[in-house]
Amino acid sequence: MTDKPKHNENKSGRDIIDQFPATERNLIKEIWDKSGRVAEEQPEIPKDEVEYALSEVHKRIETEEKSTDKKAGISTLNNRWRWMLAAAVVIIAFGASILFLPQTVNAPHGDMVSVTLPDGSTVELNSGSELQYNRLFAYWNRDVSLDGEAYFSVQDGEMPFTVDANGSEVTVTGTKFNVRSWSDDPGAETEVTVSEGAVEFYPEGQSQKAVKIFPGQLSRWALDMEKPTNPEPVSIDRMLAWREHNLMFNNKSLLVIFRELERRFDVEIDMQATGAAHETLTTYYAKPKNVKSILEDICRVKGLRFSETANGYRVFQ
Amino acid sequence: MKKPSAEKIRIWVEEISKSNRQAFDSLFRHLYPRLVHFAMKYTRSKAVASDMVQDAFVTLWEKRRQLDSNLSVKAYLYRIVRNSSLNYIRDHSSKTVGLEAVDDSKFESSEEMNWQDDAEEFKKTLKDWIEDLPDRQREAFELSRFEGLEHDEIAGVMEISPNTVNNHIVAALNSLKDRYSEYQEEIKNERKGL
Repeated sequence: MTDKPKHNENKSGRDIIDQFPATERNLIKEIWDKSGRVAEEQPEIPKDEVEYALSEVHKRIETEEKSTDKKAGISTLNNRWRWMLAAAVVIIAFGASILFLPQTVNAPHGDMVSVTLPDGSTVELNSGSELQYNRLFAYWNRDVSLDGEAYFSVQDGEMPFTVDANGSEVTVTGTKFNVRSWSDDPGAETEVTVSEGAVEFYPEGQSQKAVKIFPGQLSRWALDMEKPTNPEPVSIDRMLAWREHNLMFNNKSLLVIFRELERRFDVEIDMQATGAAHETLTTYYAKPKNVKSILEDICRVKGLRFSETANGYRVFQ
Repeated sequence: MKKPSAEKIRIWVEEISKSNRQAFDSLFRHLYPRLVHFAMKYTRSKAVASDMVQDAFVTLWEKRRQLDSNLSVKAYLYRIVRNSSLNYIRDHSSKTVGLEAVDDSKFESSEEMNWQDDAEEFKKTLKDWIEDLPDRQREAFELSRFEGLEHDEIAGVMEISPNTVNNHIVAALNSLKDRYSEYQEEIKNERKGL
């Protein structure tokens, strides 16, 4: 290699050697110096190989930046926007880095999963949910992204803990809260409920629109909304019913309810009664054993019928 | 090419944070070979190691605006590469990968050693001794001696305290010292015998 580290004289070396008894220092110094030269044994990487690797990296960076520039609209912006832009770039850079280095945890349909993150925070994932976090989690940031529903118990820490869920962000330092955010729900609506501490909830990158949610409160935001709803009181036990394998639907459309049932019971529900798809329902089931009894119940209330299929049910008028 | 000084690297990082591609390229050319060798110690595959190091540099570029030129970019890159390597080992644990030497020019048994105070021979012996160290001690020691990182940089890479880094290195030196003393003793006896 053309550039060897010369570190016989570095500060660590002297500090280390000084920790040994005076009688041993010469010997230790000799080993220290000689082991520094062992590294020179490493075979060389040819220059053209390095250049080739560099050109690969350039290609990847350019592909990344095309998509990033589109999002950020980078041009000559005045200073007032610099900070906003920097914040956007940070978020986008994080988003992009996830493409390369994400750790992904999935809760399969019909199952729930509990994860402990590198900072000691725990996350319980509802069936069908996906949690991703950067490989540098707890080093550069404590950012996670969520598609689905999860209950977070965040360890206190200096770095804020941020949940990125379908275009919304939740920021905290140490607290317990629930995020429900399914990308395939109408408007990819995100619902945040707090059971301990407090969180800030806002559309991604627009922290000036943040609402602060306190224990026992819920706020909602969907892609078509200007800002999150004012936090309103809610029954925490009901909102966190899923953690105990109960089912709670708070003014949810049949489409949303059926998707939840699909995930929870790992079945397919073919909703053919399109006219009723957006009718809403508020209902609660304690530890439901099977999906059939729930469907019977919902269909009776809504005047629908259902039949069994190979891998689930068909619901019709 | 002369080894760039810490100051030079600091300036590169500062330039990189302002999106200067030339500075990025210089840093890449300087650190890429070392990082590939470093990753190969874990992955034992040059292709995998090269990919990991390239990923690390892409991440570095993406994060350039957050870079702090007072923090060690070396520690940052080594840390990414080490974490990817450990994940790779974890995900491919059916194969026997581990923190082992890639270079299989293992020194033969002591019986047939030609006890000359030959610097080249001794280098190989020393390398074997280092390979025999417990994993964590060895990692810390190699990051210090082979990669030229300072203790607080190693602490950042290994996610341990600088104090623990120090302890690992002192422990490593202690066992190397014992083996070196034995070795010198053997040479003396060998020479007497001759």
